[in-house]
Amino acid sequence: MNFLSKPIIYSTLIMGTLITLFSSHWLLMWIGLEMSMLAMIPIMMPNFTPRSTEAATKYFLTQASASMLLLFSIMLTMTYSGQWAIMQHQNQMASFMLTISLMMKLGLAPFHFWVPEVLQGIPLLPGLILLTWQKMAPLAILFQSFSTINKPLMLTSAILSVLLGGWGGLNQTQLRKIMAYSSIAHMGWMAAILIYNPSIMMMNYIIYTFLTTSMFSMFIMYNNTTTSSLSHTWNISPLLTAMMMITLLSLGGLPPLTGFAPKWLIIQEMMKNNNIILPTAMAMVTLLNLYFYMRLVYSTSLTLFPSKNNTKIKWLYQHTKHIPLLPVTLVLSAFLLPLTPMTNILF
Amino acid sequence: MNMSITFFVLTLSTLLLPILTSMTNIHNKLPFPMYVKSLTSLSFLLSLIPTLSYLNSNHEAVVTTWNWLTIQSLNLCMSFKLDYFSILFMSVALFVTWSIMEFSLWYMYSDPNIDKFFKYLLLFLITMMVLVTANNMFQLFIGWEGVGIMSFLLIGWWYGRADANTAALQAILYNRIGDIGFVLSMAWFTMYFNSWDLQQLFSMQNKISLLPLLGLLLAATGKSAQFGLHPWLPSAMEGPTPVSALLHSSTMVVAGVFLLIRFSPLMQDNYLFQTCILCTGAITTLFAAICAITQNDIKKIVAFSTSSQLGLMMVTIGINQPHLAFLHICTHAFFKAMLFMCSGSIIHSLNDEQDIRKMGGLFKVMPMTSSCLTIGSLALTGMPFLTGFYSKDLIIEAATTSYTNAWALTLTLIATSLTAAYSVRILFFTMIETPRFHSSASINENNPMLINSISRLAAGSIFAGFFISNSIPPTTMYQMTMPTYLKTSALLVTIIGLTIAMELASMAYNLKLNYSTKTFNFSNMLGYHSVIMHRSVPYKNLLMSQNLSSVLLDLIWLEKVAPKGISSMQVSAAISSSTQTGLVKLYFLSFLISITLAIFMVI
Amino acid sequence: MAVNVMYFLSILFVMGFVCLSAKPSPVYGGLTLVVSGGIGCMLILSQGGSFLGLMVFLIYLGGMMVVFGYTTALATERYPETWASSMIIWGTLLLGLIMEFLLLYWWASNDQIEILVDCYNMGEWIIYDDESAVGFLSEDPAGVAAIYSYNCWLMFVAGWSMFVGIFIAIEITRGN
Repeated sequence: MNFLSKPIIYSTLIMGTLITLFSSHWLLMWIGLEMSMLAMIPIMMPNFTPRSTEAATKYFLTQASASMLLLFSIMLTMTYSGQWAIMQHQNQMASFMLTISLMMKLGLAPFHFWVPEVLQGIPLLPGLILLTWQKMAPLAILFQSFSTINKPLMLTSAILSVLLGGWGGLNQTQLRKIMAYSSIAHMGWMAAILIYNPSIMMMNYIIYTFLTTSMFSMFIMYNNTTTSSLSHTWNISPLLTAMMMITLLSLGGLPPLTGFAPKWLIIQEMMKNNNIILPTAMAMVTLLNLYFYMRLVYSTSLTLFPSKNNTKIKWLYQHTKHIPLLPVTLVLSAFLLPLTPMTNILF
Repeated sequence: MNMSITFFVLTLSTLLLPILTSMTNIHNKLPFPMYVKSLTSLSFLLSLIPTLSYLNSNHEAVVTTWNWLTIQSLNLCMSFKLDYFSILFMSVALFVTWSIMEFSLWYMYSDPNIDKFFKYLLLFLITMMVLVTANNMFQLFIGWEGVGIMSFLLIGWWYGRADANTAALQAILYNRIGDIGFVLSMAWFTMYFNSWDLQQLFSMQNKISLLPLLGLLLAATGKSAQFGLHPWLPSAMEGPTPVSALLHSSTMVVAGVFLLIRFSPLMQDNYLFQTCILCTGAITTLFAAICAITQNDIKKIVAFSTSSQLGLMMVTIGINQPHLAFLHICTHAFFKAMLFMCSGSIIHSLNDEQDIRKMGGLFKVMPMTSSCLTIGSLALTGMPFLTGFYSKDLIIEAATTSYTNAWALTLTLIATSLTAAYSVRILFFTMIETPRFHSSASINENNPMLINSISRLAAGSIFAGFFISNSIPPTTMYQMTMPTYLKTSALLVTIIGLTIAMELASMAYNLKLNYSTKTFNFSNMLGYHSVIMHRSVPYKNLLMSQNLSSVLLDLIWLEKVAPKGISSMQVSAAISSSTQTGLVKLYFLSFLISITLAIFMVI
Repeated sequence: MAVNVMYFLSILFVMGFVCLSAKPSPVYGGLTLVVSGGIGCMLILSQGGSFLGLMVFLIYLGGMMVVFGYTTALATERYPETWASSMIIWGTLLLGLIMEFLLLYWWASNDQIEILVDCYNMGEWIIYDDESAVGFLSEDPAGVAAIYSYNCWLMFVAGWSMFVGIFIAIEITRGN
């Protein structure tokens, strides 16, 4: 990408999301979504390879159709209520349309097919942006209109997301696809808690962002895209193998780590709302996620992958890539659990 | 007269003495077996006093000594019933035991654990005494279980042999089936009569239902080896011969019949139940007799004849003649114990050879044993004026003159003639013709312990029937007149059986062995009962259990369903849910379908 | 009269999309899009939005027609697929049309067609009261004026979006 076009595109990406976050007008909100979606496309295809072009096209098509649906929902609201302000949807059809369009944008379960395909086709950094930053705007809209969302629709989508996120990841060896399915599963958890307590959803999103950032930073550092390439990490950076294990277990939601906090709070909140079967099922199905995280852990940290002698001294060399955010996000993704009570202050 | 009670207590305590003092050195002058034998003979002499006094004055007594336990209104006492049955049976059992113990001194001479063996015999005798004298079902049950467990221990005396162990287990398992019936009856009596006391039960005899009686029949079937639960008795011949003589001919196996005799007041008006007993007995007596005629093991033949005679006793109870059944118990005890002892003598002399085809010509070398064997066999077949005649003839007479099941009667008569046949077979193969045993056998029957015991029982086999049958109280009116052919029917069928068997035996003696026929196999394989019940049923059972445990539980449930099933389910779900071609058409199809569904949800 | 025009135009509008979705050659697909777009402008026009309809037709469709002409010129197909060239496309088209007319028939037979636009509704007029004169102004030019005057930031955002749109289109098509 041209160094001149980069600031324009990245600023549009950030500005689009910010417009969506700050606006109280449906049309501006929609414009913000469109802007960030448009700006994402050149980011996704920096090298103009057919694979990334395909991924960008798929992304554009799905997002554009979701935007169209969103616009349709906005028009319906406009027709029935006569105003553009974001307020409670009186019309159920409009609310449905809105929810479904945002589900498409987030990649929730029945609309999740594009996520792994798109992510697999693009480089790691755009993938990170796609999984973290690009989720923010749709989640913000959902956050603002959570009380009108149809509960059965959202919960069905949530459990389906967790289930398909778990199943999908079992069948993969590609790290980006695994992360995509992990994202689908996490989106399912967020969707489940959204209708009960959107603050916890935001917290889950933030923690998920930390975890994904750590994972992708580590992938970017050594340009890992497959499980087998990941298994060479022990030659390059022994410390990072341990950190990767901790981050993966945190993603799986094991207790002393950060990833446990949102799952804990979500299950607790759903229990408080007399919804017992769903969190039980979700917790059980998330074991599938834990299984493929464990598989990554196994190939990364628990076994020494056979390697040639001249590759065993890679750790001697200075790292050429420096990712300044990595230490911070690693610490955050590992040890944030004791700060869980402070989430009250955040929201 | 209190003296009979005193002497009864003395009899029991005399028997208890060796048990109680077995740890002490009180009998240092005598070896323990000898001591036990002497005390048993003393006990027999003491028991004669109440017996004779009873025969003289006909008084019954109930001794209630100690209140064990009171559960609400159910009172459990230690109570002894000294009536005709118990007093007379005690004397007979003590006499037989005395002889058998003396015989054991000779037979078990070389056994290193002979002290323990005698202790077992004595314990068995005591439990048998408890059984016959019990005045309530609880005490009866103690005796019942006691003889059961002693039978288990004594059959498995040579526990080093797998056969002995199997036989012991078989005996205890079959007895357990019978015990279920006993416990059922006890439970029923507590529930409906609220008493286990025999007098109280008998006083309610018109209120009884069929269920407890069937329980008692099951108990008797198990203990007395009636058809269905009979296979343990021939197997029990794996035990030492004195054990077979004491437990499996004269005392323990008659406990079932004795139980029915004890409870006969409850069933004397219940014709349905009597028919049940009658048919059970008739089938048993014929079946056991059929099995006996083709066996080659001398002890097995005697065992089957015991089973047959027990069936005959059941038939007697079935025609409502408990006193006759009891008479047959007593007379049978003498000659059957003696038969076992004679066969034990032969087996011992021929170096543990039990196959009658490998005997022959023994009447020259073992005159005493063969004479007594002949006396016993003749008594068994009902030779006039020997002991067996007095009971057997009366039974057949009572059966033929009663309005009873003609089918059962026919079976009994056939069995009676078969009795003669297998008795002849024993005599024919062991006594006459030329010897077929190994010439190195050191045959010697000149031990006084052997001679005395056998001859004492031989005297009993000749005279006891006369004395005991004279002492039966006339409880039921006998048929005083009957046609000659009915009167002589028992004798006639016996003679027919005897002559036919004799003819067949001499005819078949030199013939080449043909391939066995189906009927022969039926008889020789004990009616396939053991094969079916002991092999195919457990085999199927074990196979099913193995399949259940290993295939169903381990493989299917613990492996296929839980770990492998879940994993394969997840794998197939993962493959089917994430294998997609990446076609945009698919994405939009999923959008379209989901949106359509959602919109229909709204509308 | 106006109702019938609306009705007729709507049928044509949908028909254009049916023709598009029957998937002929992209050349004809573009053509139907242009035609449908034109019909859409006429729909707006018939509702009284004369300024908006004209603007959309002139600017948006004008640009689109340029693109269409350009792509048609670039298209190398000698015999592009028309609706009649393949049985499948023909059948799909026919099926779509039959569906549309069946729907219409069902709708009409159930008296579902409402007169949304009445004769008097020939456009919303805004009364403006200047110092010099009082007059009427159509609603849509008034909205355009409003955007330029006190909605300048929206204008800015819209303009930026437009710019980014074309910039991105150029960026991703220019190649390396």
